[in-house]
Amino acid sequence: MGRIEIRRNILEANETLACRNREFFKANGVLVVNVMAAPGAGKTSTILKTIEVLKDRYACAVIEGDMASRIDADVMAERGIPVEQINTGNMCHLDANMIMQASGKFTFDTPTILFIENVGNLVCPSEFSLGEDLNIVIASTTEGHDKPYKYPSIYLRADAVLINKTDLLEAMEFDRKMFCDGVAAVKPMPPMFEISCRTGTGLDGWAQWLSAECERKFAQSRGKVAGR
Amino acid sequence: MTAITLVIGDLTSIVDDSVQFYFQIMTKDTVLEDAVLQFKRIAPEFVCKACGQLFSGRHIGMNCPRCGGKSIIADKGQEFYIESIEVDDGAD
Ligand SMILES: Nc1nc2c(ncn2[C@@H]2O[C@H](COP(=O)(O)OP(=O)(O)OP(=O)(O)O)[C@@H](O)[C@H]2O)c(=O)[nH]1
Ligand SMILES: [Mg+2]
Ligand SMILES: [Zn+2]
Repeated sequence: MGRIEIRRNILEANETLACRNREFFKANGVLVVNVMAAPGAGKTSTILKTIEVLKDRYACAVIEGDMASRIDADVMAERGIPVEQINTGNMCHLDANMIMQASGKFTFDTPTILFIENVGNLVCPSEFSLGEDLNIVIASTTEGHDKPYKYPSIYLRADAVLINKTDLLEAMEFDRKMFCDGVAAVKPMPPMFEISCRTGTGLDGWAQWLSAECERKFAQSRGKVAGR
Repeated sequence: MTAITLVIGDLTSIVDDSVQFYFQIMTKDTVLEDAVLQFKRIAPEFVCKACGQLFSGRHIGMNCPRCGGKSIIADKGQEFYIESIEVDDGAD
């Protein structure tokens, strides 16, 4: 018997496509925000509210990922937001290939924030890079404060964590400290924003952080174009 | 006989039994039909934020066994790769 060393990432094919997406987004001046959360945590609501705050400053577009239906895409389209719906069938996450197909359908003629609403799931989306700039995890007070302990891998990838439905925080007896300790046990504390899509609380602070990230990225791509 | 060694971290969502199950379906009637999958699981490693002690364990937020301090995930537990393949090379 001969033993051959391989040491190759099994998700390499996805990583390769994610890199290609990243190049595409960079060349087109697109900041990509991958929004991950449990079903019903408020991904669609948060994306809508964020676009409301930022739409005068940036062009925004959305890719909706759901196993089935066009419900979320229709909500976006009704408000005039450019949107592509991906139906994954029985897949519980989006992958780089799906994003490559969907992103080719937009025209990016000005700097754009592209929100990707991943499939509602706290497990598998964390394994698949899409070519995003930022990974955002939305927790909601209704799902309880123990999720970072139970689903650490999604929090490992979070560049920012949002706690949504803070209007229900007290009714849910959501223990903020236990939640934050859980995130801090996974990785150095990322920026954290408490928001309510119902009352609008906290959305400005979050949107401000996001626009600062945009400015950084867009300045980089402008620099790159100028330096060519 | 062929043997394939996979390394899988406990922080990934990859389950040995599922990999085995789909591997069998996908390799049926191919040269890999009789290949054996060997799984090496890697437990996550934590580092104490107070004293720097490294320790492995199963649960997020475990306190340091040396000083009781708070811990954070170090870098192990996220592996998912093919380590090696053993093939019959006719040498013995
Ligand atoms: N009370 C309260 N309800 C909220 C808030 N944000 C969202 N909701 C409600 O929560 C439900 C789910 O919100 P969505 O935005 O559709 O959640 P989602 O994560 O996109 O859901 P899926 O795409 O189905 O996984 C809806 O009924 C929202 O009205 C909030 O801040 N407070
Ligand atoms: Mg939604
Ligand atoms: Zn210690």
